Parts: sequence; C-alpha cells; structure tokens
Amino acid sequence: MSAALTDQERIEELKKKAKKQSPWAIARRKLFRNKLAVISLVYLIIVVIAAYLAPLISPHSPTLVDIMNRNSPPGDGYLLGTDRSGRDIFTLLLYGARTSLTIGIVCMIGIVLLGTTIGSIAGYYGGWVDAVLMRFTDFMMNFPFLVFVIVLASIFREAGIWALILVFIVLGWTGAARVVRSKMMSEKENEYVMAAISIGGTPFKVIRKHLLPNIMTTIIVQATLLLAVMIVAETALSFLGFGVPSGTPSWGNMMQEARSPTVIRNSWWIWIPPAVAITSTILAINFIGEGIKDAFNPKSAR
Amino acid sequence: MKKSLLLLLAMLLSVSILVVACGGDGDEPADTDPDTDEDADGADEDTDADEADEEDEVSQEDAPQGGTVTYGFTQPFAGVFDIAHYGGQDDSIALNIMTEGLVGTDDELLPEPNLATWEEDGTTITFNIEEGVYWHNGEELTAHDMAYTWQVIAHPDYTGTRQSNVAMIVGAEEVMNLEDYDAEPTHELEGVNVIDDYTLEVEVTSVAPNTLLNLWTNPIPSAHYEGIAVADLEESDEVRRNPVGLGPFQVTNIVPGEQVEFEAYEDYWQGAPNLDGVVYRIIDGEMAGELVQQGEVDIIDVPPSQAVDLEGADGITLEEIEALSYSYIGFKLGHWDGEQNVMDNPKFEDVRVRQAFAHAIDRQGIIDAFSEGYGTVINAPESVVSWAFPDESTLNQYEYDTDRANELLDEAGFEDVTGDGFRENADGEEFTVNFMAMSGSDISEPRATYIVQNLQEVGINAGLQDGQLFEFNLFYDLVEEDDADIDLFMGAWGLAADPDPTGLWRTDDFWNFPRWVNEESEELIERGLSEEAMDIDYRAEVYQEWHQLVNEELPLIPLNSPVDVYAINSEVGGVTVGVRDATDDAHLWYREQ
Amino acid sequence: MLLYTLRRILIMIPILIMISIVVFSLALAMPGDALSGQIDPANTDPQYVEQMREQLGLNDPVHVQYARWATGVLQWDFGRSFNHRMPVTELIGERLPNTILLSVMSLMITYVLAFFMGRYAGRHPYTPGDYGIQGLNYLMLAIPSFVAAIFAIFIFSFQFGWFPSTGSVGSGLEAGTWDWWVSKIHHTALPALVLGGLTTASYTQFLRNDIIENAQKDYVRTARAKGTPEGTIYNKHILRNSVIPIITLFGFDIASIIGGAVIIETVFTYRGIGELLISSITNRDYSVVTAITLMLSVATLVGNLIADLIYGVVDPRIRVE
Repeated sequence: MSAALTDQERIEELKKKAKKQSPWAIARRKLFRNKLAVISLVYLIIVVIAAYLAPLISPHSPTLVDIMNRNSPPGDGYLLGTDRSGRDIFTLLLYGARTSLTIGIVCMIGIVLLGTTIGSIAGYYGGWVDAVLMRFTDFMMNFPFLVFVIVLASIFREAGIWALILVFIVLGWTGAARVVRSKMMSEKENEYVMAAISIGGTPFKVIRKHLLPNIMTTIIVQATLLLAVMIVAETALSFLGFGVPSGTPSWGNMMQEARSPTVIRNSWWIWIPPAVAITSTILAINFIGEGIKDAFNPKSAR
Repeated sequence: MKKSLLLLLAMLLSVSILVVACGGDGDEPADTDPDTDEDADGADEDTDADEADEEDEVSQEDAPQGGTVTYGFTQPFAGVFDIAHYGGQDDSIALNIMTEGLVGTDDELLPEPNLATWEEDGTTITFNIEEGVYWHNGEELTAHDMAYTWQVIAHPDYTGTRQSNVAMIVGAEEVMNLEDYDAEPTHELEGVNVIDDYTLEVEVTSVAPNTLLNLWTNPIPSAHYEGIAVADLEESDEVRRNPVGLGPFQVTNIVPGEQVEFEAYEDYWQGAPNLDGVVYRIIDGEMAGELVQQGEVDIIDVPPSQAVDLEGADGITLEEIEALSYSYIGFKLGHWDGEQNVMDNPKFEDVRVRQAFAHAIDRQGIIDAFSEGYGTVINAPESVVSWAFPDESTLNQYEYDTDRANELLDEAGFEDVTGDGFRENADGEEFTVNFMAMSGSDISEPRATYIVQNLQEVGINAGLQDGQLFEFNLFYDLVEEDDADIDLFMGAWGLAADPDPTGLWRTDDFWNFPRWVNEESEELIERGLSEEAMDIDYRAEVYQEWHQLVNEELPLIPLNSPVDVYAINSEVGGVTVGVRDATDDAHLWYREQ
Repeated sequence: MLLYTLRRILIMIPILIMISIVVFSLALAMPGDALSGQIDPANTDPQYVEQMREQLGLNDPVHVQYARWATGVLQWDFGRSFNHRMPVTELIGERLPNTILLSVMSLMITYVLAFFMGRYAGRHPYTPGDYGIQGLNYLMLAIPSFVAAIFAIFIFSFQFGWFPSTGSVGSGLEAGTWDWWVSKIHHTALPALVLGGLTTASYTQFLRNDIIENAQKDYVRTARAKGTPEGTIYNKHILRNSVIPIITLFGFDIASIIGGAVIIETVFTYRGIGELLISSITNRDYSVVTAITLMLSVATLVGNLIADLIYGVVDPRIRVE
C-alpha cells in the first residue's frame, strides 16, 4: 500500500475491495493460506516444469542403452544410478513424468468434458432424458474399472497410447457425470436460472453462462481427484505391461523393473525413485484437491 | 511375471516356445520335413541311460532314500501327458519324469540304446526290446505298444504333429491318406512287422544317416488307451488325468496348469528310485531364483540375470550346460510364394552389406550385458553342443569392428550422399532398416535398442519396426508372411539332435525365414543325407563345408549359442542336466535328509 | 423389506443381460476365439482357422452366436481354456478359493484396523495420535497398490523375512492338512495386509468423523450428565451408532477388492482369479479372459446390490423410494 494515500482513502479502497471480492478471490486467498496445499502446489509445479524441460535438465538420453554402465548405484555421474539397461534413473524419472502426467492430464480433461456434458444435460433437462442418461451411467458403473481397462487395453494394444487414453476416458466418466448432474439439479432450482430461461436463453447458453460457472468448483475438485486416479491407472497398467509400450519412459514402466525380486532386493535405486515420485505426486494432488474443496467451502474456517 | 506374462529370458523362452510354434503348425502341408524341432524333443527324451546303468548299483545303495524333490518350470503346462501328442517343453518335462523311449541320445547327440537295442540293415531296422519293463498300470512293454504308437501317429485322425516321424515307414503314407477308415488305430503299416513280444522289424522307404533319430521311438501304452478313438486321445482322461508311463515316477495328482505330483514307481526297470516322489511345479519366471533360495523349488532353469545373484549363495549349486539352440538376426532376402522361397529382395543383395552388419553388432557385448556372459558368440547357425558344429577357426569371425563395417559399407557404395548422417544405398537412394524383435522379457527392449544403436553407429538409418517390440505369436506371424516392412528380425531356433539343415534352410522350406536360396547349399544338404553320409566323418565334412558357405554368404547373423543355468538345491543330488532339461535319470535323484 | 429385495433383484436381470452383451462384444473383438477356446491361437494358417470357425459356428450371425454362448453360460459352460486344455469353469474353480480367502482376510484386516484406528482418532481428535493416523490415511490413499505391495515385499519379505513374497501355498504339502492351512494363511497374510490396509483409510476417516459428530449429540450429553464413565459412553453409546454406517460400505468393498486383487495377486503371484486373468491375457487364452471378465462384472453388480440391500436395512426410508 502506498504511503501517499491518506487513511480515508485507504479505508475507501479497502471497502471497495471487500465489495468487489469475488468468491474466487476469497477462495484463492483461503487456498494460499493452506500451507499443505501451497507446498503441494509448488511441488507439483516443479515436477511439471522439470518434466517438460527434461531435455534441458538432463545430459543423458532416456532411451540410449549403455551396456558399460548397467545397474550402477547412485553417484559416478549418475545422480540416482542407472537401471539394468544402463539408462540414467534421474533422466528416466523426468521423461517418465512427462509421459505419466501428460496421459493423466489428457484423460482428466477428456473425462471432465464428457462427464460434464452428460451430467449437465441430464441435470438440466431432467425427466426422461435424465432417466435414460442416468440409467446408462449406473450401468457403466457396474463394470469393474481396472478389469475392463486391462482387457480393453490388451485388445487395442497395437493402437498405441491414444487408444489407451480413449479407454480410460470411456470407462472413467461416470463418477464425474453423476456429481455434475446432482449439482446441476440443485442449482437449476435457483431463481436466476428461471429468469435466464424466461427471457429466452437457449439451454446451451443457460448451461454455459449461468450454470457451469456456478458448479465450477465441484468440477475443479472432481478434476483434481480424477487426475490422481488417472495417473495411478496409467502407472498400474504400465506396471502390469498393458500400458505405454516398453521403451517409452514412464513411471509405470520404470516400476515394471520391480517385477523382478532381484531388483527389489538388490537394486533399490531402480524402483524407489519412481515409487516415491508416483506416491508424492498423488499425495500433492490430493492435498491440492482438499485445499480447493476447503477454500470453496463457505463454512470452513480457513 | 506371466507375463504375463510372458516371462523373462526372452531368448531361451522363445526357443522353447518356438518348438511349440513349429509343432502347432505341423499340419500344414509344407511342413513334412523330417527334421524340425519337435522331432528333437522326441529323440531326446532320455539321454544317458547307459551311464545310469553303470552308476546304478553304486548310487542305489549309497544314496539316501526317501524325500521329495520339486522341479520348477516357468510356463503353465498344457497337460497333454502323452508323448506322441504333447506340444511344448511345459509338458515334456513332466513326460520325461514319467516315461521314456526305446532310443536315447548320448552326449554327442547320437542315438544310443535305452529300452531297446537295434540293428540297422539297409532299409530295415530291427528293435530288440528289453524284457521286464512295465507300464505304471502293470502291463508289460511289448513290441505291440510300439507298433500301436506308429499306427496312432499315422492315423488320419491323429491330432498331434509327429507325422513326419513315421512318414518314412513303408506304408505309412497310405494309411495317412485313407479315405475310409476306422476311428481306432487298427490300420497296420505295411513296413511294420511284430516278430514277437520283444522284437520288432520296421522297413523304411530309403536309407538315410538320420533315420534312427527321426523315426518315432517313444511308445505309448496301447492297453491303457484301448477303445479310445484316435481323434479323442489327446483330450481323454487317460492322457490328461491318469496318464501312464514307463519312467521312474508315476503321476498321482494333477493340478491343471500348476502342479503335477508324482510318486516313485517301485517296479521301474532300472530299479526303484531313491526319492519317494517328485513335484513338477509351475512358478513365475521372475521368482525362480527367489524360490530356490527359499527351498520352495529344488531344480530349475534360471535366467542369467538371476543366476548371477545365485552365484555363491548358500545351499544352491549352479550347473551350466550349453543349450541345443541358437539365436540370430536374419535378413529378409525374399518371400515365400506358397511353394518355395524366392530370393527377390534387392535391399541386402550385396553380401558386403550383410557382412558389415555382422561387424557392426557387438555380439559379445550383448551376451555380457543381457545374458550376464552366459553364452558363446557363434559364427555358424548351429548349437555348439552338436557334433556338426564347425571348426570356428575356418569361419570368418565377424568380430565387433565398426571400422571394418564402415569400410565394407563404403566398398559396397553405401555412402551418405545427402549429409543427414545416414548412409544411402548404392544407387544413392534412402536406405532405412526396420528391425523387428520379440517382446517378452525385461531385457528384450534394451537388447533390441542396443542392436539398433549399433547399426546407427555405422551410419545405418535403423529403427525398431513401428517403434515397438512384437509379442511372440504376432512376431512369427509377420515373419512367416514376409511382412513388407521387415528388413531385419531377431529370432531363435531350438534344434533337433540331428544336424541336418533340412527344414530350416532349403528352397522349399517354409521355415527358411530369410528366404535364402542357394544351389550350392541345396547340393550340400542333399549330400549330407546321402548313403555316403552313413559315414559320420564324411557327413561332418559336408556340414563343415555347408557352414563355411553360410558363414560367407551370411543370410543371417548368428548371435549366440546360449548356456542354460540350473539352480539346484544342494541337499538334492544325482541330478544330470541335459541340453533340454534336467530330468534325465530321475530315479537317481536323492535328497540328503 | 422382502418386496424391496425382490424388486432390486428383478431390476438386476436386464442389467445382467446387458452386461453379458458387452462382455460378448468384447470377446468378439478379442483375437482368436474367445468364446469357446478351441482354436489354436498360435496357428495362423487361414485354412485351419476358417475350417475351425466354420465348425465352431463362429461364422454364424452374431445373435445366433450370442444365444449359443449365453445358453452355455447359463449352464455354467464357459468353453475351454486353450492353454490348459480344460473347461474354463474347472480352471476358475481351482483359483476361486484362493481369491475368496484373500478377500475375506483383507476385509477382516480392513475392519479391524479401521475400527481401532478410527475409534482412537475419534476419541482423541486433534491430538498427535489423531494427526498421526490422519497422516497415515493420506499416505494410504495416495500410494498405489502395486507400489505398496512392492514396499511390503521389500520390507516384510526381504528385510525381515517374515512372509513369503510369492505363491499361495508352500510346496510339498498335502491339501487340507494343518500344515497346508498354516502355509496358506502365511502366504495370504502379506497380500491381504496390503489389499486390506489400503482400503482402511476411508473407513477410518468415516468412523472418526462420525464419532466426533456423535460425541456432540444430545444423547451423549445426557449420558455424560448422568455421570456415565467416558469409556462406557464411547464404547457403548457412540460406537454402536457409528459402526452401523460402516457396514453399509461392505457391498462397495466387493467392487474395490476385485480391482485391487488383480494387481495384488499379480505382484505376489498369488494364484487367484486376478492373476489368472493377467496370465491368460499374456498367454492369449481369451476364453478364460472372457469368462473372468463376465464373472467379475457380475460380482461387482452383486456387490452393488448387497450395498443397496444393506442400506435398505439400515435406513428404511430408502425402501420407500
């Protein structure tokens, strides 16, 4: 605050600010006061930046096989050691983050779009549209997610990463759709929506302009949860050998080395880094999700 | 894991499955070669029976009695416990514990007597079967069992893959082609003559040096199978639930795909076994070393990466043996036109290019890095175990030498004219090489990548085909149909005991994957099977010459002849490791209590 | 209640049929012959494949094939496993007891751990103990099951040597004997601990929050005012009310255990249904894959049904809807 301002002006300004402060700004402030969430956010940002700048950070190639330096423990020019093909673990971790995060983010976006669309339509129209869409959603929920992902991924294995992402999206949208729909239904009862409809707003416009912004918080919370779930799903699938092709660095593929007890027992540097990376990333995402939920919750003290 | 499933140790694994793959396709018309891989399985059921006889008295008395030994394997078994029908090594290990054949092979992979002795006279072979050999159901083994076995295999309804092993018997072809026949194996083969219970005469169509190894000599129990139609045999309970054999252990319980339990057969013809029983157990390949250390498994073939960790481990003995297989990188030189191989692909037609590739690939490095040094670099497509393995000093060694590779490529006119860092071909056209390799183990990917790197180092624009590895079945599907994208492919062959290259190398061999056609080779292979070749020294010379030709022409780059490592619990003794498994002379196994 | 139950079960029937259609379509999309398992997947000779397809009726119209397959399934016939050369049902029958044992043990572990941790945290909220339990919960929610399993193997099997790291029973033991059972439980303990431990988090949290909430309720205040000892209040009054909602989660557990078991069984090479699914996919034994997929889907459906039913028992208002 500038010292040139008089007290009077300062009070005026503060008043203005308080009036203007949108729920978003309040939420942001609350979020930034949540230490755990802030630390997690900083951590996640670092991970993302490091992942996408991997070629600048690491001098090693993530794919080059170096048979002279296989399975060597940390040190000696390799920060975290090398795996059994002589690839630098640290480099793999960076490039792996890129693959795993990209897949996670793309799936998350896809699911949010699909889930929000279906949820919005069902919630907005209600009646038979809702009944049909929700029956369908319930039906999709009956499929054990992981089992179907594995079976589908193995059928469309040759089709590559995009097929994998599509499988995740097709099987993963149900939860988001349900949440959006119930939120939409309660929001729709508000008078401003009635007003918007009565002045002749098209459903699309009403949903987009009036309803969606109001359920955005729910969607954001869902999205963070989904991001975590999708990253776990990708790593688990790659770990089992049905995910991204071997040779493409990914956290799940790195963990695959730990299918061998010899590696678990003797070469901890091969599997502990990806294990810690996955867990800490999920942890960070969860904390951020909690933080956002708290921040938008008018009842919460923080 | 099972890997998946598929498991680890791609190379050896592929060898053992390949044997199955060949077998699986046996009913194709093209595949009547007398010598592909599954024959070897049969010919090799029981090695070293003689030695067993000698050691018998000594070890029988001294060895501790009683106890159980667990034999581990890493692929679930199909459960076809009939020696004339089984497909892969998964079943053959169990079969080798429970039954044996008339003829075995010795250390040189030459035939030796087991349950029978024989005399060969021109096209007639007379078997004299040991008296007092009993099936587990109490029936005595007779010449009739053997005749019955041939009738089953020659039967038009036969579901197995061993027709080529009886096709040389006079009259067999006629039975195979019968239009109107009995569902049971009642059709006598003209060339088979049962003289009495222990004497059997068989007439073959022509004289060949490898007749005895190719002829099927593993009897199946005719009384046990009585009344079962040939078409139903493979699926019958007599095969799958209560199989009967001649070996030292009889089956007591089968947990499908997981475990077979055996108990000692007290009336075994070489004397009662030392052990009370044997368990054949399927485990996860990644866990092999771990389970031996825990004492859960007593005998198992461990992959090199695990063998290294077991070196010096307490309570475990490691036994190494050179395997009857080799791995290679093949060039696609042509295609299969449905009848025969046509060598029409100009890509690698210059032999200097092929030789340059051989020099560019660090074969010793591959063994050291990915097989932990277990294996030998070879320059001939043959297992080092075989008597026909050529004198390496007469062969070009193709040592890892990038300078030499560059030189050869320059000579062939493959130079980088565009300046992109990669060579163009002699006509100045873009030259890219697709390398195709199998997935299946944790080393498959780095190994394939390493080979690609090797080629890139000498300026070859090489890459993994479609940027990925191919699952075993898909890999061979594509190789078999000469997929247009394949330039180079890495495969492995499990071999027969007999070194005859027919089946894998001739113009009309479907399994000649490089599609290499060479008249001199044809002629040499024929000479190796001629009457003159009945003299083994002559035959060895012919094969030496043939290997020199292949070594010079290099339709494929032999990579290595692998070494199998068996981890054996030190409490367990009397185990003989063989080129295929360690089941030989199971009656001599014992356990220190 | 009976009417409600019947209605729920009736609703299940069309869903079951639809699920079977989905699984059937998947089976058609799988390479080879995923319905009957009679065609050798390694044999690609077109003539052989065509002949077998004709013989097995795989060239019939889709609805005919579906009818044939569904009839088989209703008669408990899922075709044959090509690799194991035996009926799929028999194969699954061999594995099912292991998976059930694993599930039951992991459920027990979940409930016991959640009960004690949740009770402690609920009774002593905002204490270091509570924070410790909460932190543990966050960790357990974040760590993927396969990562937890590998850590468990590393620590409990390799460092301490307490549990075997692989298999479902020791070798050379006769089924049904005392030693066999001991070995079996010993082998199941670690995978069950991982599987059960990870699902503990949500239960613990639920129980804790419920106890804290109940502690503020009037009836507790009344009890306290009457001079009832704290211990009795928590153990008798509050816990009784807080445990009931937890039971309703049981049905949903079936679904989560199914997914978890696939991964955990594979990591531990524990011979159950999940491991069979993965190994069958790897070995291209697609008739087994089809059967297991259908079975696990039905199990999930039944789990959801049980959850609904229990919920109906606990909260009668649901039944009216």
